[in-house]
Amino acid sequence: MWRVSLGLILGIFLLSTPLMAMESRELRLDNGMSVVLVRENKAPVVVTQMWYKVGSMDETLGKSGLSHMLEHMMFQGTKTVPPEEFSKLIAREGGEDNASTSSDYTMYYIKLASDRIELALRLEADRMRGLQLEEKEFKSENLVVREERRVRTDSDPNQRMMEKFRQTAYGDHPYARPVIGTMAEIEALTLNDLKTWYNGYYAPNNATLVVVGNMDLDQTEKLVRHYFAPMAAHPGLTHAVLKDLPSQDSPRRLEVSDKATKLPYWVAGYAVPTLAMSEWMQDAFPLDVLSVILGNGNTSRLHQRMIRERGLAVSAHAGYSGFSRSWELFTLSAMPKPGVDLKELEKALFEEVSRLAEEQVSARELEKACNGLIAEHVYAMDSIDRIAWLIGRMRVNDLDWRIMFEEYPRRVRAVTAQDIQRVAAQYLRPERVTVGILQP
Amino acid sequence: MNRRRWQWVGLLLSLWIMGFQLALATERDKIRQFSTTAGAGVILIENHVNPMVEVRILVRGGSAYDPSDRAGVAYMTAWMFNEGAGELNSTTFQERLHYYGISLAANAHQDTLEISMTTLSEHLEEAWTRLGESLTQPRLDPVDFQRGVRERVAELMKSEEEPAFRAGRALYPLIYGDHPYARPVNGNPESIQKITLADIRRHHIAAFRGPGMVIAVAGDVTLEKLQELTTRHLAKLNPLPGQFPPIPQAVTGKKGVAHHIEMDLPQTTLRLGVVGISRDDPDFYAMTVMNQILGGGGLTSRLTNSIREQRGLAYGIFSHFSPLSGRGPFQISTETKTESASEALSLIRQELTQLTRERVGEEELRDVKRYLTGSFPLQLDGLDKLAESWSRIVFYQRGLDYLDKWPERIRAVTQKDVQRVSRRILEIKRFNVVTVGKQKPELANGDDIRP
Repeated sequence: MWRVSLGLILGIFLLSTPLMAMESRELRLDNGMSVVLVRENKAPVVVTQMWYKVGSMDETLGKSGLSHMLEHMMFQGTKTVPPEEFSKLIAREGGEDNASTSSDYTMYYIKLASDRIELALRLEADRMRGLQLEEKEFKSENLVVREERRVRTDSDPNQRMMEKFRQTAYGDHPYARPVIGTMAEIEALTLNDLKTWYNGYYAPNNATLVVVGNMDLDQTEKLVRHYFAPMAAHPGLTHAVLKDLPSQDSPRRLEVSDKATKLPYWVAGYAVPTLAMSEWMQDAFPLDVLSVILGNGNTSRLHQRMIRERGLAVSAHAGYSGFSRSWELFTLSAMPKPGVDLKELEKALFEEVSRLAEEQVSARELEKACNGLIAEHVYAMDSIDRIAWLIGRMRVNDLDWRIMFEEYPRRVRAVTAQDIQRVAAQYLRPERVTVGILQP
Repeated sequence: MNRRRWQWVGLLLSLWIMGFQLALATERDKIRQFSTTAGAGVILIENHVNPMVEVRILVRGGSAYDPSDRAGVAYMTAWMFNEGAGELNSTTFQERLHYYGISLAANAHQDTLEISMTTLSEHLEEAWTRLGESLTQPRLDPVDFQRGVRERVAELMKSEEEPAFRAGRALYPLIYGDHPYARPVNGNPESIQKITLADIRRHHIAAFRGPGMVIAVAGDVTLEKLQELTTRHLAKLNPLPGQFPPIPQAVTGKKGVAHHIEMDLPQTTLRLGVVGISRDDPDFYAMTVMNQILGGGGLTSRLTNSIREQRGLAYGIFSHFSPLSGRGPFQISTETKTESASEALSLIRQELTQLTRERVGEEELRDVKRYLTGSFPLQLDGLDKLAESWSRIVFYQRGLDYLDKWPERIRAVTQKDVQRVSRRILEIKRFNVVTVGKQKPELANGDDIRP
């Protein structure tokens, strides 16, 4: 799960006496738009996050990078705001804005002093339906995205390998495709593709607006209704069909030699369920706790065994998010100590994974992992951005964020040593793994 | 995929520069200061909204004080900070921290060693016990040190894959020559392997003392409780001042040098730099405004407009300055496809020249000042940001009215001030230029790539 953030409001109730004065309100406008308002008074600041349920997983073959390209274009002018004016209008009011695209969603945020909240709502409403997609802006922004791909992926041997690794591990699942798109497909995108995408997904019934900060909820609700209620719903939304957790009966392997790399890198992934998969939802918490015990921090098993006890590696981690719309990869990663044979390191890493299925973790390890997760959640509550992110990330998968907030500590604490053993035995099996190796 | 990059430098700087100002009268009313018996200065920003506490501690003793042949001593001292203390060896010590969900770590910067600690308020006692022991009874066991050296050397080798890392490594010596700011904070594989545990012990003892230490605490703790915690856990702190001399001012006005590093990449990384200003320079506010106009964060700067918005030549382009005890660097950085490197360089050069030749327009200046003053509540809206900012305000002796005065000082910056500071810092022939990529870019008019 989101290491830095999940869970909280009640976390705080359970953990300590004082509670945060967080008052919230959830609305569903008649046009289908979902709205969550949370009052948090620490500073005179407010953040709006506009989440659209569209990401690279919804893209069709040959059109990779379309959602991300559109994200860039969302700053390039509407019927009322000229190109390049968007960020200037916000900066002039002392605000900051940005956006991000993932496989699952596209999210836009604006953060500014509480008394300017109307500006943020007006601008978000304006670009939800009023985007002017122009050839001139598109041409130049497409060049920017190509540079973005060069800097993020093409110039980095680790990222180049990871792109291939995802292809190998995800197979025919849309998560196999790069969010930013392949260079050839970015270059081939047209203004028409963007228009289709925009008209298909940028509608109130495909959006969640989250507002967190110091504000009056009645007043904010009034503004939200004023700007968003008049917008018409889109009748025919279509999202990627979610694929079932795949069965995999033999391990897959990718080995990449790249002369740009100075030190080998080893990664492995297992297909695992997430919170959004109702049938397996109960496994998300054990997987989260398991990832901490196995490979999060200096006292995790991987760090202790691989680095301190056996001297095989200089880094070793495990990772799980649990937030994806579809299933995702539970990952292991490591860098060998210079001179150590990768085969030997790999063998040792898999021994640690097998041990989780063979014997139960100790009570102290389990408690330590749960304490750590819950403490991290309290720390995350110190940031309105992270509160908003968590709500949006849940809502965009049509999950009830409230239940998640209120039940988080209880659900984490409910994970038993048997649960961990069970999910390890079920998902982290040798035949279900995909290994990726990068070496010089 | 972000539309814009969050460069750590940018974030740090925004905290640093415009950071400190928070308009929250309510916050400020609760700020209290006291000294420990050993002479450490403590500042408390009390806030009980969340059941947690953030602590930031600054002492003199950053990489500028490394022995010249052993760059990385301060960095390794910081790395060893949470590797066991008192009765607890590294593994036991860290297991205790993780069990209580406490994070405790140190880091080295150029001027300072910095400790950060985050804890739930219910585990304050445990956290301060570990902190006090780390400060006064570090274990510094050889087995952990050797592991640290191994990891750092591997990390440095891995970093050689990154063009930005290699550009930075090359640029600082060009800017600073023999000045201590030329040295990389985290050393290099050779220097790290020369360091001994005796160096670390010496540096730890020299740096972590009462006098000069600034402890900023934000969150769910009362003054009485904090006084009691510091009295008990910092009692053994050395009360004698350390021996770190002031950092000399770097020489300005040197002619710049161009340097190219060949790497087989689809892009050329451009990094330009000159000696900038110190933390207490009278031009600090004019510099803040000038930097925002030229290449500050957001998508509104002149460099972003010219290179990204108008021509699509780069994903990100930024200028930044790091005001330190001595004159910190002023830098510009971007990446662009190989074929565009010359064009990007000449556009950067145009923007630099423009700022020195022509006064900034009234409207542009007004907008930038509105952004800088208007965005300051955003820079202090969390306990981590409050502790961080106040630790710097006190360490760099900016005065407790720093936040109050900041907006009016920004508003007082004139068109003339911006031009003056531009002429002082942005003089083209003084810029050092490092390029990393397939080939050394050349300018159409046959000039050297130095702008």
